[in-house]
Amino acid sequence: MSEEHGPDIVKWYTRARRFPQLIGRTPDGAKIPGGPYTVTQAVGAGLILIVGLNSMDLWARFGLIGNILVLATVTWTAVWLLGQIPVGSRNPLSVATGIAHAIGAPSTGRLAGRTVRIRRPHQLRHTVVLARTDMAPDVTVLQKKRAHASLTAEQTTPLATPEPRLPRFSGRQRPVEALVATQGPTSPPEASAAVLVPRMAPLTGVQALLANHPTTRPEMETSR
Amino acid sequence: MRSPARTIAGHLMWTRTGSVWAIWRLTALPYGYRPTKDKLEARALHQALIRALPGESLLLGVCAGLDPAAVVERMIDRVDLSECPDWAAECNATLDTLDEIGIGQRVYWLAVPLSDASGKDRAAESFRAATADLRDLLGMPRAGVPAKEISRRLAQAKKIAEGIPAPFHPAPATAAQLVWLHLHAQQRGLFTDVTLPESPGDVAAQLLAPRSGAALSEPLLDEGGQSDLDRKSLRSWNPLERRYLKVSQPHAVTGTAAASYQSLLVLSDVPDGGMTFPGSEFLGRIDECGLEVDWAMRLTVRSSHQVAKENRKALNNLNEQFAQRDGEQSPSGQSVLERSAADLAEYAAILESDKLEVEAQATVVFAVASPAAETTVDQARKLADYFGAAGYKLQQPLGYQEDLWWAMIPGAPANKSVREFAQITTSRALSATVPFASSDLGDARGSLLGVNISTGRAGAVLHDIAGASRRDVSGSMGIAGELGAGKSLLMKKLAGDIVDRGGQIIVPDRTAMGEWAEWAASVTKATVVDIADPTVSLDPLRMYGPRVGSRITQSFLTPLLNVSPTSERGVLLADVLDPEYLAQHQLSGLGDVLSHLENGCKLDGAYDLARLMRVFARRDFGRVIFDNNLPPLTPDAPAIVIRTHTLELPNREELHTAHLFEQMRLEKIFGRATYALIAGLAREICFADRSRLGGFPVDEAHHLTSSPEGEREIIDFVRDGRKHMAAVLLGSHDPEADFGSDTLRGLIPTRIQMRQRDKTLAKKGLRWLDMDPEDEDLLEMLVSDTSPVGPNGVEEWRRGECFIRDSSGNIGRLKVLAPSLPDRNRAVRTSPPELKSASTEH
Repeated sequence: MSEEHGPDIVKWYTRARRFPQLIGRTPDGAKIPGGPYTVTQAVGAGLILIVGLNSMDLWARFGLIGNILVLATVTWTAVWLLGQIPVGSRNPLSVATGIAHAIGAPSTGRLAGRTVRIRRPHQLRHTVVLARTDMAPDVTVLQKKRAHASLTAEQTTPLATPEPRLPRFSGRQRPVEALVATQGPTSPPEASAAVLVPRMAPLTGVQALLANHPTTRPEMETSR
Repeated sequence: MRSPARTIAGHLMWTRTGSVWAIWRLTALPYGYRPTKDKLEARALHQALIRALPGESLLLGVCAGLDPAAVVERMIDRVDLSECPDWAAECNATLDTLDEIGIGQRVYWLAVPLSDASGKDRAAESFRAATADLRDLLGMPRAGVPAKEISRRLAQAKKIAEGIPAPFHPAPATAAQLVWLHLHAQQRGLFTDVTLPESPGDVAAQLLAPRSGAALSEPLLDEGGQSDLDRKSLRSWNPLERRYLKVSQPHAVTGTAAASYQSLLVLSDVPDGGMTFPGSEFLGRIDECGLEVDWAMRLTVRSSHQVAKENRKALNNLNEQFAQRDGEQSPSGQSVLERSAADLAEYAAILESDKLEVEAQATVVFAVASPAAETTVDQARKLADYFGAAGYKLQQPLGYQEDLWWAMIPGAPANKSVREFAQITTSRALSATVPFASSDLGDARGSLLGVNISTGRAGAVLHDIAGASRRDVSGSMGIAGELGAGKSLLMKKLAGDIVDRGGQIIVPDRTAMGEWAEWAASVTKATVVDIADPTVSLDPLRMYGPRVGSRITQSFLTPLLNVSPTSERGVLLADVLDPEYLAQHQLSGLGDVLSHLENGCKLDGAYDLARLMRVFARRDFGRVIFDNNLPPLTPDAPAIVIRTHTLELPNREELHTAHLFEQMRLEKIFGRATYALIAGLAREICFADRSRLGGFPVDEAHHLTSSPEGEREIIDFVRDGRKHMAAVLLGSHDPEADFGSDTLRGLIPTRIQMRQRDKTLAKKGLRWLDMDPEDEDLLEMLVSDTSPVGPNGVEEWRRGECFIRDSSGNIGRLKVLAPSLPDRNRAVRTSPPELKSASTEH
C-alpha cells in the first residue's frame, strides 16, 4: 500500500467481512465429529430431522432400529450432498430462489410488475332496450330546449372550441360523395398535399444543409 | 417492479416507492493515453466524488449513438454554406460516411436518492406515493407535487451538486433525457435510440420531452425469454442456457419495435492480490473490450465511523470461526480465514488511519444486448472472458436478470441481488476504476480528421484549422511518420478542407511529378509556379511593392548572398532596398535593382554586389526572381503551388561545417533562400485577409526548418496564425530533428504521429507527443500495430492510423478518414508512382 514507492496497488476488502461461516464445535467447546459443517449442512440436516421425526407415521415401518438407520442414512446423505457445495460460494437459498424464478417465470412476461394474462376469446352478451319513437315529439319545445342549452354552454365555457361543422348530407347524396364535396373537388391535389405537409423552417444547420443542397448523395466507394 | 417515475420536475424524480431522486449528467475526465500524472489527478477527483456521495447513489455509463448530423453540425458551424458549395457537398457526403461507420459516445449519469432527515418528511413522501398508487388504481387524476416541496428538493439536490468536483460538470438531466434513459434501457442493443437530447432546442429533445405519462411506457420483461419457448422440447426446460432478459415494448405498434435480449452480468470478485494503478480502470476503459457494454454501479458510501461497528462484529465472528475450525483437516480452511483476517486488519487500519476515508459498497452491473438471444449470450460470454483474463470474475446469476435490470434504472430501489453482490472497498480503491474516463479527442468544430480509435467506441475527431482565438490555440499541426504512413493524405485532406471552406493555401511542392500541383488542379483553380520553367515571377518587390516587398526581399537575399546584416555588404543591401531609395530610383523589381547596381548606382561596392547577384540571376532557376519580363504572381487563387523539384537543399553538415558551407553548390544556396522566401510569401498571403482561412502545408519540413530564416518565418506564422485564421501543417519523418528548434516544436499544439517502424524515431515521436518513450507497450503499438504493413501492404481498413495529441493535450489514437466526396477521395490518394512501388503511400 505504498503510495510513493513502486506501483500503486489497491485492494477490495469484501473478504474482510464476508467469509464462510462453519460450525465445528458445540457451544460448550466439544468438537462435532466429521466437522466442521457449513450452515447449509446444519440447516439441511435440521430440516430433514424435523420433517422426518414429524412424519414417522408416513414412513416409519422398519422397526425402531430400522427407522433410526433410515433417518440417519437419509440425513447423512443430505449432509454429504450439501457438503459438496464449494465453501464460500453464493447463498444456496438465493441460488434456489433464482432457479425457481428462472423456471417459474411467466411465459407471457411481466408488465408493470404483474404477469401478463391474455384473455381467451370470449363472447359478449348484452341486452338493449329500444325506446319507441313512433310518438312524434313536440318540435317547438325541443328547439327551444336546444337553443337554451347551447346558449348556456357558450356562456359557461367561453374558451371551449366550437364544434366542427359536419357536412350535411342531403337525402340523395351518398356520404362518401358528401365528404369529397366538403373537401372541395376543384382544389388541385398539390394544395391538399401542402396542407398535409406544412413547410417548416429548418431547425438545425444540417437540415438547412440538406434543404439547400439537395444533391443526390454520391455513391460511396467501398474502399475507404 | 414498475417503472419508478411518478412525477418528474426538472432533474428530480419522485418515485412510486416514496423516494426522490436527483439525476445529473456528468462529463468524463480526459484520460486515454494521458501521462500517469494526469491519470492520478483524474483518480483523485473520482475519490473526491465518491466521498461527496454519502449514502446510496447510482453511477451509470451508457452507450449512445452519435448522430452523424450532430458531427456535421459541428463541421458547418460558423461557415457560410452559401459561400462554400464544395464544403456543403463534402459535409453532405460525410453524413453517409459517418452513418456507415456508426460512431458513438458514452454518456455518464449520476443518480442520487435525496435523503430526508426527518421521519415526518419520509412518512409524508411515502403517503403521497401510496396515494398516487391508489389514485392510479381508481383511475383518478394524479395529484402533483406541491411547489414548496419541489423547491425544497431542488435546494437539496443543489447541495449535492455543489459537492461534486467541478471537472465533472454536473448538468441537471432534463425530462427529455430521463425519457431517453428510460427508453434506452428498453431498446438496448437495438440501435434504435433517438439521438441523446443535448439542449432543450434540439429535435431529439422535442421528440422525447414528456407530454403525458405515456412517454414513460412500461416494458414487458420476460426473464429467460419464456415467450419464445416451445414447451414441447426438452431443452426449453433448461434455464441455464437462457440467462438473459427479453425486454419488449408492448405499447409500440406491432412491427415497429423488436425485442431486446439483454444479458446482465455482475462483478462478483476482483483479483486476489489487488490491482495496480494505472491498469485497474476496468470501468474507465470498458470500451476496450470491443463490445457495446452499459454499466451501472450501485454505490453505498458510509463513513469509517459507521463501519467500525460492523468491522468489530466481523472480527468477533472471525475469532469464533478460528475456534470453530480449529483442528480442521482441510489444508485450505485455516488459510482462508487467515486471509480474511489479514484483509480485515488492513481494512480496519486504513479506516483508522484516515478518518476521511469512507467505505464504498459497490455493486457493478454490466449489460450487453442485441436483437437476438444467441448473440446476447455470446456477447455475455465474451465480456466475462475479457474480465476473466484480467482476474475479475463476472457472474450471471440465474433467475436474477430482471432484478439486475432494475438495478440499472435510476429511481428503482436497491434490490436483493444488489445487496448480495455488493463488494466492500474504500473510496481510494474504488476510484482506481476511474468510471468517468473519456478518451475524446479534437476540437469542438472544424474539419473532420477521422475516427477516434483509442477505445472500441468510435468517436469523431475534429480539427479547427482556424484555431480558436478565444482559446488562444493555434490551428497549426505537425505530422510525423515514416514514408507511406499517410502523412501526405492527411495534409492534402486538410488543405482541401481549407480550400473548400473558402480559404487559401500555398504549398511548396518538391516532388518531381508534381504531386501537390496535380492534386490542387483537380480540386480547385490553382496557380502553379514552376521554378524550373516559370510563367509568373515570385519577385516580392513586384508582388507587394517597395514597402512590404523590401522586407521579404531582404530575408530572401540575406541567405542567398550570405551577407551578415551589419557587414559592409549587408548595409549596402539595406540601403538599396530601402523603400524610399527604391521609389527615388523607380526600381520596381529585383531585375531593376540588379541592373541599377550594375550601372548607375553611386554607392560603394555596388558593382561587387551586382556581380554576386548576377551569379544566381544568370542561372535558369534565377529567372523566377530576377526576370522582369515575367508578370508578377497575383495571389488570389485558392491554391498556389510552388514546384521546387529542381532546387537542392543543404544538409545539416553543410550548414554547420564551415568548409562544407563554403563549397556549397549554387542550387543549394538558392534552394535554401527560396524556401525562406516561400515561407515569407505564405505568411503575407495567408495573413492578408483576417476573415479568410489560410493554410501553409509543408511536407518534408526540414527543407524549411533547416535554414534559420525559414524557421523564423514559420515561428512567426504559428505565433500570429490564430489571429489571421491561418495554420501551418508540417510533415516530417523525425519530429525532433525536422520540426525546428524547441520553440517551434513547442508552439505547434496539435501533433500527429503516424506509423514509425524505426524504434529510435518512434521513441522520439512518443516523446514529442508527451508520452512516455520508454513504455514498451506504447512503443510496440506505434511500431507494429499502427497501420501494420502486411505482405500486401497496409490493409484498407487499417490505413491512416496514428497517435494524436490534440490542442487540449488529450492523447489518443485516430484513424484518419479520407474525404467523403469520391473525386476528392481519389485526388488525395494520388501518389507518385516511384513511391507507390517502394511503399504503401495512400
